[in-house]
Amino acid sequence: MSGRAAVAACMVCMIGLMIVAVGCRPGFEPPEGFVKLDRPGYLYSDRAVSADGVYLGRRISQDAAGGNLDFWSKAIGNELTNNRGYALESESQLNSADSVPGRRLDFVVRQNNADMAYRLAVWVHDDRVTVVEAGGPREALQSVEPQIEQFMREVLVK
Amino acid sequence: MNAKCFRCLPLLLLALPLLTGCGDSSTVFRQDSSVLPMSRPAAAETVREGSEPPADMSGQVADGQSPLAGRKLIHNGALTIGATQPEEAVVQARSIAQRLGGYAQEMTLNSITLRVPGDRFEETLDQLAQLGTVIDRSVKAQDVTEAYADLELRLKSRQAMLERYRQMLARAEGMDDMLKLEKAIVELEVEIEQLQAQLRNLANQVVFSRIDLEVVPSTEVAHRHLMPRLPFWWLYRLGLEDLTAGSTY
Repeated sequence: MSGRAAVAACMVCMIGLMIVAVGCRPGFEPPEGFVKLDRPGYLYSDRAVSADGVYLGRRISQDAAGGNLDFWSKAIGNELTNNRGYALESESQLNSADSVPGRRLDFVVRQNNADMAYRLAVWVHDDRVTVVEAGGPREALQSVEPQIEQFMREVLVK
Repeated sequence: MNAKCFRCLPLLLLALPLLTGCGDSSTVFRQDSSVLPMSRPAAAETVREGSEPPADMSGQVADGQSPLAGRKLIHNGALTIGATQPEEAVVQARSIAQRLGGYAQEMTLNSITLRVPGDRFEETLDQLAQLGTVIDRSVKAQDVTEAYADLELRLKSRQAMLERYRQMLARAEGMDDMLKLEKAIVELEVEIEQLQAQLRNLANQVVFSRIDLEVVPSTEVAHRHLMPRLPFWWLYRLGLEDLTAGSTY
């Protein structure tokens, strides 16, 4: 192999490695005003927080166990409202950035004498449940509601 | 000799994250190396109150030999009880944990996260259950032996690589080479510190089991029994408590 061919082969390998590297670890870019937590906790693949204590989190995907979007959104809603004291404020459709139909559930709950808000979006694709959450003091969360909405719409599920 | 080494260096550095990061599906969205490859719920088992723990959770089998000898297990428990005075029950829960060699990691007026020695885990749960009416009780055991071994292996390989870089630096002649090597060494040192911290963290989770106790007013207990809970453990971990938890494992 000539020297030039060897260099070309090396370049191709490097480009290939870079493509694989990027493909393995899609970035998690929190919205403006949030910082990403280096250690999100074992339940989450990513977590971010604002200075006002509003948290964003993307959970490790779970096995859908054959359940569809209706099943999981209902199961989540039931768990939070019937067993955890949350009140469901609204429910709406929300597609992911890669066009997977999902559902957004908005809750409120009173904790430690404070009104808290909790937003959750859920998608089911390929027998995996993907959940993204946002939560924190109600007023603080409402002030970043557009960023949260945008963040949820930009989630890639596939 | 040096020139050859440095031609390979960029390739080595480029390949490093691929070798360390792509093998585990639970780390897909992480960009650093601090996540523990142990988060798949399939590796965990949940036992509801009233059912017998399987052999791999109690660590014992019929002939008395433990198949888990040498395994590193993280035990997590969650307990929800009803009490007439939740605040008082939370304070008592902290006292129980301290008496058994543990401590309170987080505490609110009606909930507390305790860390207790692994060998006092069940005993602590039983004593906490005496503080009120048990609404829900679950125990989860997670085997992190492989994750621990993987971290140790990665740490050793990085330490060996660091040593090689230092030797190369000692022999380096050109300023450019020296600067590249110094940069690589600093990056490796940071990564080694992160790996060591993860190992310590994981070891701490093995030694100290976690128990999340939630105390609800007795008046709410009847309401909470209205709806049977589904057998999917992660549903119970939804909500603000985990999302806003300060601890980062």
